[in-house]
Parts: sequence; C-alpha cells; structure tokens
Amino acid sequence: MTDPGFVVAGYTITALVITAYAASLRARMRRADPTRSLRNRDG
Amino acid sequence: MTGWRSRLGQLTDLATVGALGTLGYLALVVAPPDAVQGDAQRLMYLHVPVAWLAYLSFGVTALASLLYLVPATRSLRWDLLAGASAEIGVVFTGLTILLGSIWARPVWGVWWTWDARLVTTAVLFFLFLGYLALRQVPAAPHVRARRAAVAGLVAVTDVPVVHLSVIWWRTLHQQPTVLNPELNPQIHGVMATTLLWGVVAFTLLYVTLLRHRYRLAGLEEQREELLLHQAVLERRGIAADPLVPVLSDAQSLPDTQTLSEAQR
Repeated sequence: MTDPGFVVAGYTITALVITAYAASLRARMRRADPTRSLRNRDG
Repeated sequence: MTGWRSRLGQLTDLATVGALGTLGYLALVVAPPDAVQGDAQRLMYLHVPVAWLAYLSFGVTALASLLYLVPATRSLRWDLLAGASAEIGVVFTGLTILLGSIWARPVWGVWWTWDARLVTTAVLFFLFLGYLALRQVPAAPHVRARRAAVAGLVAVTDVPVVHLSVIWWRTLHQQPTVLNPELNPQIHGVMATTLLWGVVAFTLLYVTLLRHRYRLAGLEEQREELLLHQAVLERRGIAADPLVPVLSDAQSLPDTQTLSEAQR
C-alpha cells in the first residue's frame, strides 16, 4: 500500500467508527425510550 | 427536553458535522505533505485529536467519579456521566491505537511494536474496558456507583503515564509535538492550524456524543428501575396493571410517571 492508501484507510476507518457508534447510540436510545410504548399503545 | 435545549442540541450536532467536514478538507487538501513523512503524516490530524478525545473522556470520568465519592456532591447523575464518558473514551482509545497502527506501518515499517507509548495506551484501553465490565456487575445503584468511581479513579492514573511515557522511556514513538516539557510547539503554520482545528472538532464531537450517551444512560436506568419494580410486584403476587406492558420486553416500557399513575 502507498502512503495515500494508508491515509485513505485511516480517514475511512475513522468515519466508519464514528458513524457506527452514533448509529448504535441512536438504536439503543430507541430501544430504551419509554415513551415509545405509549405511542404504540395509543396507536 | 425543553425546546431551547433541543435546539441547542441540534445546533451542536450540526456544528460537529461541519467541523469534522472542515477538518477533512484542511487535512487532505489545504495542509502540505510533510517534508520527511510525505502524505502519511496527514494521519496526525486524526490520530492526535482522537487521542485527545480519549484523554478528555477519561478526565471527565475521573472528575465525575470524584464528585460522586465526595458526600456533599454525591448523586447518581455523576455515576451515569462517568459511565457514559468512559464508554466514549474506550471507543476512541481503540481508534487511537488503530490509527497509530495504520500510521506506523509506512513510517516505522511495522503495524505494532512493544513501545512504551503503545503498550501504556493498550493498558489504558483494557483498564477502562474492565471499568465498563465492572459497571455491568449486578448491584444496588449506589454500590455499583461507588465501585465504579474507585475503579475509574484508579484507571485514570494511566493517562499521565501514557502522555509522559515518551519522555520517561526511550521510545520509537515521537516526543510530544505541542504539549512538550518546554511548552514549545514543534509545529507551525497551516499544519498547526489544522491540528488545532482537529482538536476543536473532536472536542465538539465529544460533547455531542456525551449528550446522547448520557441521555441513553438515564433511559436505561429508568428501565432497570421499572424491571425491578415489576419483579417486586410479581413476587408479592400483585397482578400487573394492564396499563403496564410486559417489562421483559425492553422495547415496550412505560415511563415512570405512567407507571406510578397506573398504580394509584
């Protein structure tokens, strides 16, 4: 791999890690949100 | 969440995305390649801010742990904040090691070496991974909080060791560029501006992630309390109120107010 290849890999991995962590927070928040059941119950 | 808080939160989210995008442009387009390392040095604009974010996370964990242990300021909110910040710290310590490894391959010729800076950083990662595992051990909230606070304060002692490792021992890793003992930054011009911008962008990212992670910690705590409450009711042979959904289903929980109203 050339130097630019390592740079691209580093920036891509960082973007992926940040996106994946943010997405996991969003999903866990949705699962834990207590108001969700009320919305579901009320239709 | 009140309206202005929600708007401020959205503004922080947007500012974070903008700051990270600008960092990408500065680091990959505006900043010149290094005279010695060439393009590989561009990884510094991520590696250093990511490491800073990890230090900051563990610093906040230590501060919140201390505030929990001091009787005058004791509150479970500090414990939740400490846990939330530590999780972010672990993610970004892992990323620091990964980015360091990717940078080391073209510059040092190896992905990993048993260098003092690398080893102490790996130790930091595992210490806080252990801290997060300890938080999962079932216990009463204040027992868990006390254990975690002590563990957090012990684990954070590795942060200065990581930072000073390149001064204390002979290492392959370079000396501190900005926060060196002489406080004489060895970086100038566009490179310095880009690095500083990176630190600002990743600090904003930390604030954004912590805001969401802290809120999640509150919701999870609430869910645990409801599960416990439901278990106590079942044990006493009290039929669950039809307003209260099956609490083993984590996706369908009422909020505390609804539960207490239902039991009245």
